Amino acid sequence: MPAPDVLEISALLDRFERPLVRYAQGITGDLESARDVVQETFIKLAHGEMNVSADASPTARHTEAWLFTVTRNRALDHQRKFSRIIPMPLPEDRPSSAPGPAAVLEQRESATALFRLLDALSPNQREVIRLKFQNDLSYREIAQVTQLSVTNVGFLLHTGLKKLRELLRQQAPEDFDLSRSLP
Amino acid sequence: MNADDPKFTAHALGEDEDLTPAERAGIEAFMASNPAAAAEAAETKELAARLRAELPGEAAPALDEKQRATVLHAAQESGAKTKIVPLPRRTKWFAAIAACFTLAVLVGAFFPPFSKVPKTRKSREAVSQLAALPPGPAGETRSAVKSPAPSAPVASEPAPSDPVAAPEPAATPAETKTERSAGETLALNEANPAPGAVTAASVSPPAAGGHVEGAQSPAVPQTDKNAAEERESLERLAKLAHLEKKTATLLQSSASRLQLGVEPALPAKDANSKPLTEKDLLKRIATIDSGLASAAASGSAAPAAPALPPSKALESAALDLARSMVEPSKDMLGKAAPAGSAGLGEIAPEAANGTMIGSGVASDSDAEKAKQPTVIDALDSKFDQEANQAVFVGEVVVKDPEFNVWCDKLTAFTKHEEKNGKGGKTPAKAATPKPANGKSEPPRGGGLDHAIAVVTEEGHRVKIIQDKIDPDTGKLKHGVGFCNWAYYDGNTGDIIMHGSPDVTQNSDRCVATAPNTVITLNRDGHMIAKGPHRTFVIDDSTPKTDDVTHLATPQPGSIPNPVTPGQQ
Repeated sequence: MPAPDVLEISALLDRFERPLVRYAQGITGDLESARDVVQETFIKLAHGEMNVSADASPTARHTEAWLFTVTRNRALDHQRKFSRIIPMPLPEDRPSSAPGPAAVLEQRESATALFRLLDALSPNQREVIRLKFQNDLSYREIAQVTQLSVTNVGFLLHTGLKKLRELLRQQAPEDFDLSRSLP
Repeated sequence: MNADDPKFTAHALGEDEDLTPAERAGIEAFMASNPAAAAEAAETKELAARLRAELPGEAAPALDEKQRATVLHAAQESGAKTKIVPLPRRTKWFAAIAACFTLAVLVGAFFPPFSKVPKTRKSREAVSQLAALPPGPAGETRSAVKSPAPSAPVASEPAPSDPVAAPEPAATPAETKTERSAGETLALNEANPAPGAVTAASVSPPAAGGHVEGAQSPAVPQTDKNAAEERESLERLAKLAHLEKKTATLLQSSASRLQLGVEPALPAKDANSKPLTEKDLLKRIATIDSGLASAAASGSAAPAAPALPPSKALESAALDLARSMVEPSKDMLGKAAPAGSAGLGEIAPEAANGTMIGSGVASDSDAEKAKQPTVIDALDSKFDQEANQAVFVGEVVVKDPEFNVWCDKLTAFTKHEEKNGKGGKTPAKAATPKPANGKSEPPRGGGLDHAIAVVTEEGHRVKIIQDKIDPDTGKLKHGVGFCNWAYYDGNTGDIIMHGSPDVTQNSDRCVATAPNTVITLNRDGHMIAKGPHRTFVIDDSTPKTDDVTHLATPQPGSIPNPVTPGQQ
């Protein structure tokens, strides 16, 4: 695939740099490292390193998935390199070392309760939920990014959402009327 | 089937792509027969909707400007296709170009002063051609320019109207030296300009006691001249005045460029050693016009002057000379620079005050042409030897022969002198001066690789000025650009402006209509816009006093139109 030109890169930067930095930060835990990772990702894209099979034309979705994939791999490499590893146990669920739901909920405003509840999930649950609902990737795209099977992605989403519902019930039964918080 | 099945959740989330029709039918049948399962599916959908509504609102930092610039530079380096957006051309511009050719026809009147600028081999050839001209108007004009003072040696040159005056010898060494000296005076980009050499005298209007008055006295002895000779003298004087005006225009253009980068060579100064501003120059041009009007008025009754011999070769040579006065070196600042020269990146910290002088502009084929400095002023600076990087912060002003840049922060990356394999690791080299003995050793890198200019203060904009000679028309392109950040590619000479760039080049203004529009000013003066933008073409048809069309249509009391053979 020919390298995107400056205009295309610029447009992709405008569209994806923030979601990618946020995603990478979720893996590295460090903003500057996340920025470095995303910069490297875009440089790879600029150098035409996005592989597309001969019978497939690069679509926006494909490019998006590729960007997330490379960002993730780079972020994990970065984590390994700097020994700040956030393990990504796959596919089985694993208890999170994050503060318990009660401690979390005491510290958070109700408006951000759902968002903060993600910390109570395991990293891989959190990751697939972010990819699904924050970046609007499909099961298949999440599977491509995380190099998991679609089945595993479905399992992680299923268990993650189930856990979130339970946490919300524990937080405040009256708040569990999810429809009330919808715009 | 039960509700605690990932496929059940996938169905609730609309992810039916990987479900078989049988599975979908089974899930729907299960929910229809099991209200609890249906309620659970509804909860999943509601939770998904809430996640979609709230998660995107999480803070998402962007890359910093430098990182963005690096990415875009990588895109450009990897063969990005660029689309040159030609600026709209108007029919009337062709008239202006035609006027340029008209100017070329009249170029005989311009030879003497241009011959004072033997910057290049071409220009010296032109000088030789000029020297080979028969005596007469040209020689007289030249001497008048060269010797405004009565004591000047050229006062002994034969008067132009002297019928027995022998042709000037072809470029005697002494004359060549004199011409070169004068050329160095006027050549704004010469490397070693004499301080104050280009003074008010060299561009002086008649009222300033300059050449016009000085020329009139020795060259036109009234007692020995008949009316025709007087008319001829006046006409030549007028040509000389026009020449002065054109010279002033060139000086003005060059001064504008010099404000960008050739500070030591800033030429035009008045008697108080103050740099001549555009206003000063225009004022003097007006003064010239005023004196010219008087001269023309006094000579209006005189018979027509003899024609100047036109010469195509000389016209071309003179145009080359004119261009050489304002055209910067094409080898500037980049890898095209010959060995021994350096680009902007060779930044030599002169002192701890933040003023940096680099060895600047690469010379052209003329070995005598020395380097011009690139000056960087800043409040603070930092150097990284290993990274070949210099960072200038605070009120940064870059003055380079090719452009001027104002910004809050400039990061310059010099080329790696040596590369070891793929890694391209560069051995540490002396990028930081040693101020111990008060003298700094200029870092010797491979020149500037790239630089990034950004603004850090709210409301600030990076400002860039670039003056170039249009290779097609030979006319000066004066470009002024504003943007949020700019990338300079030392290899190509391109200045790439990002962040709502707004560039005005002569009468054309290109304004970005989207934040991601990129406007590039190429080394050759071409403007390339990528992304949504709007172009304004300003009607500059109103002739200016220094417009070339002025020559073709002289106004009463203004510069006479030189007469060509056959017109008498």
